[in-house]
Order: sequence, then C-alpha cells, then structure tokens
Amino acid sequence: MTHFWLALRSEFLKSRRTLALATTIWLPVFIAGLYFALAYFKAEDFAKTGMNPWVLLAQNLFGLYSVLILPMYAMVVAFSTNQIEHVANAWKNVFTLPYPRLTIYVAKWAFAFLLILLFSVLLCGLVFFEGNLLAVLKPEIGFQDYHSYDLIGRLFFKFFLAILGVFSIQFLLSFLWRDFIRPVGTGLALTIAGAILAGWKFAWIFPYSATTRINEQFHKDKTAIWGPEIWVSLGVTLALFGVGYLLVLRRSTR
Amino acid sequence: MSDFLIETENLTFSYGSQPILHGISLRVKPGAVYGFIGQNGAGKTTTIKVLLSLLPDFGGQVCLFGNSIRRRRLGILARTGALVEEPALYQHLTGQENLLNRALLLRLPRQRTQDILRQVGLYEARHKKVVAYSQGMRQRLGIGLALLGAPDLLILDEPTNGLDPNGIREIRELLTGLSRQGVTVFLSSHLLSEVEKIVTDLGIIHQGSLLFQGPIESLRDSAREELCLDTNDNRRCFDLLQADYPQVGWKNGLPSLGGVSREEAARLNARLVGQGLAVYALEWARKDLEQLYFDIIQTPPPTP
Repeated sequence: MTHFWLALRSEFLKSRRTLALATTIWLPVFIAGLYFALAYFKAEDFAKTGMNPWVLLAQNLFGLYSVLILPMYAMVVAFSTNQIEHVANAWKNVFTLPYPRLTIYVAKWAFAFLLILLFSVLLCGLVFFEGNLLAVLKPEIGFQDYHSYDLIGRLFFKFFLAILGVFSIQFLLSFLWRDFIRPVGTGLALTIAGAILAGWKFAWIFPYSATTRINEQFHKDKTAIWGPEIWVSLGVTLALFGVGYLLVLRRSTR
Repeated sequence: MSDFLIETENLTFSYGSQPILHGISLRVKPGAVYGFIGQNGAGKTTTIKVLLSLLPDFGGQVCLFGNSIRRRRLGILARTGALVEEPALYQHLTGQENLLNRALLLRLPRQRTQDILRQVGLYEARHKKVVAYSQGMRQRLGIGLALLGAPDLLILDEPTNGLDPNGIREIRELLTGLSRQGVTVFLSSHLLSEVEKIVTDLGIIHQGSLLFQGPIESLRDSAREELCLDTNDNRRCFDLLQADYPQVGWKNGLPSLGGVSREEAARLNARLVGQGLAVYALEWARKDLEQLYFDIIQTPPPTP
C-alpha cells in the first residue's frame, strides 16, 4: 500500500504545469464564471420564468456539460496523464522502478480518477457559491427562496459516475497509443455518435451516450442516481480496468 | 550461488517473428566495469531491456544478484540503477523536480538529490526546466537519476551519447570512482575506443550473438604484431602487396600486414625497392583494440 501512495504522490508531483491539472482547476472557474455573468446580466429573464432558478441554472449548465464539456474533459485527463510518460519516453523508466507494474498503473488511473472527481466537486461547489452570490447581488432572481443543493449535488454525482465508462475507454486508448490523434480523435467521434444516438432505445448500453441521456432524464424530472446507464458505465470501468492490468503486466517496453 | 552478478544462460529474444538475440550467455563479475560493445542494431539495448525486465517474453535464464529476474524482479530492481537509450525525463519539470520525483518513489531524503545534482554537474541548472537543457545536460541528469538510489549495479545504455569530450571524460571519471566504491557497472557502447580506458571486462555482440567475452587484458594479449610500411607511394605499395597478401589492410594511413615473419619482411622490402618504391620505414606494431574488434565481428574497418 505504501508503494501505491508514493506512486500516487508522484503522479501529483508530475502533474505540475500540465494540461490535466490546469484544466481541472481553471475550467470549472471559467464555466461557472460564464454562467454567473449570464445570470447576472440576464437577471430579469431568469426572474420572468417563475421557475426555481437553481433548476434553471442547472438546465442551462448541464446541456453543454453533458454533451461536450464532461466527455471532452475526461478525454483530456486520460490523454494528458498518459502523455506525460509517452512524451518523456518514460514508461521504460517507470517500469524499472522497484514497483509492481499494477501499482504504477493503478496509481496513474487513480490520479486521473481523482482529477475528474475534483473537477466535478469544484464545479458543483462553484455553482452553489454562484447561486448564493446571486441571491445577494440579484435577489430578484430568487435563489434565496429555494434550496436545491441535494438535487444539483445528486446530478453532479450521477454525471461523475456516468463519465467513468468513457474515461476508462479513453484511458486505455491513451495508454496504448502515444499520439494525440488516435485516442482523442476516436473519443471525439464516439462522443458525437453518443450524442446523436442518445435517443435510441438501446443507447443505454453505449457509454458515450450516458451523460446526454442523464441530462435528458433530468429534463423529465428523473433524477434518481442508479439507472442502466450508470451500471453500464461502472461495468465498463471494471472490465477495462482488468484489461488494462493484463496489458500492463504483459506489455513489452520497446 | 553464482559467482557472477549478472549471468544469462542461452538468452534469446524475438520481436514477433524476427529473432534479435541468439543464445547470449553473459558473465559479469561483481565490481567489474563491463563494456558491452556492438554496432547499432547488434542487440545491446534489447539485452539491457531483458536484464531490466522490460521485455518479459525472453527465452533462457537471466539472473542478477544470483536471483532470477522472472522471480525476484522487485528485489533486483531495488539494487539496480539504469539509463536505457535516451534519458526519460519529464520536460515540463525542472532537473531538481525530476530527481525529487524519483527520490519520492525510492523514499530518499531531499538532500540526496542535491548531492547528485552536484555530482553530475547540474547544481547550478537545477531550477531550469528540462526542456531548456542541452543534450549533454539531459544525459547527465539521466545518469543522475540512475545513481540516485545508490545502486549496487549500474546499467547504462550508451551513457556518453551527446556528450562533448570533456563531458565524456567526466563520465569516465565518475564511473571509475563508482567502480572503486564497489559498484558494478554494465555499460553499452558502439565505440570500443570510448570505453576501453575504463572497462575491466568486455563483451562484444554482433547481430544478436556474443562473439567475445572476457577481461579486456585477454583481448589486448590476443593482439598480433603487424608490419606497417611507409613508402613514397603507399597506394601502389598496397596494390602490390594485395596480390600475394590478401590480409593487407590500412593502419594510420599506412599499408599494414599481419602474419609475416622478419625474413619475409626483409624480402618484401627488397621487392618493393625493386619495383621502384622508396621505402622510408618498416615498423612492427601491435593491432589496436578497435582493429581487433573489427576482426572479431569480421567487418572491415573503414579505409582511409
């Protein structure tokens, strides 16, 4: 276990000044900032709808978040964490350390997983902060009249679980392919396919449709965490984790 | 218990259907500085990768520190420092951060990274990002990373790549010093001249086969005497000799012949003079190691 913690700390140390870490911190700030500006300057439009402003804010945010932002972010994190080793040609170096190969793989995977979790928690926290700030600055919108923390928090958690399948596929592709085009290009094509096919009756089985489908369910007031998309996502995560382990165990480092 | 720190028995390896190593049996004694010499593509790096368990699908036996790499991989790697091919460095980090990362993984104190930075001459540049390092600085940092864990065995693949003559000399001194401290050094190179000053033992690999292995002195002892001829027209002299002596070669710009007696040398002199050549000197010289190396791998050295 000591090996795992050290390898995980090493991943954090290596992530300094990388795209993955910068995106994790600054993208939520950027997104929340834009939605804050939108609500602040269009406060009257918000107020006119008569809806729960928290729900309205979440609907605005989750539209883009589910189809584009979250899948793209998962791709960037999967790519960037593996790319550190590819660019430095460091896999051979890492595998000459007195560490079990599985530990190295799990630590890298766990680091990327934690980044996605941090991203989700940070954006969720910023949305809460934004709503409360608007309650003070623009009380006419009515954020102070509703308490929707549970709903928004649950949805962020659901999106987090739903993206794990996509992340696992992208992580494996980025581990195997050292270039940018193949893993990210494939991921982009599958994300587009996922968004287009999301309405299809068998789309629940396709991990890249999961976040779009969850957003659609939210619009239909279906917000329970556990559903077929989540089970598929977790199943794919588990299966690909096993595949990754076998690959890393047998992988020759040319 | 084996007497050797590195011992391979009939080591074979193939990339797909292409065989790379053909039954390599290495014997490296503890405390040796072992030079592993071969041309590009001879199989040096592949052998090193097998020793470090980077290529797990090999044939034969590989033992380091008396233990099989298949069964005691972690224990062996804990006592081994390595630099394989070009240094694997995180370019977005500074030189010091690269070492700190490795020190964290090896559970070493921060002070150790400072010592290594001084040892490899990068202390002043420790806060520079590696992306701004020259090739030589990267090479030195790569060697520093290999040294960080104070290993008992140091495996270096072409450690002087990219270094200027001064840098090469510094690395030689560093390795000699480590050897005096009891560290076993296994280093590969495609240039015998680069390592002959520091190695105690030598292995020559060619097209995946080990053609020579032993103390460097035994190679020196096997150097045969050669007759070097200096005339007013060395090219013509070479052509004249070639008819009767197909082994004639060039050494330092002079026609040279191995396997001739003193009497034969006198007859040759008379014959060359008879052909109108002015013979300035007949000199007996020993073959240098580079020539012996080429003899061993049966590839003619480049003619001047």
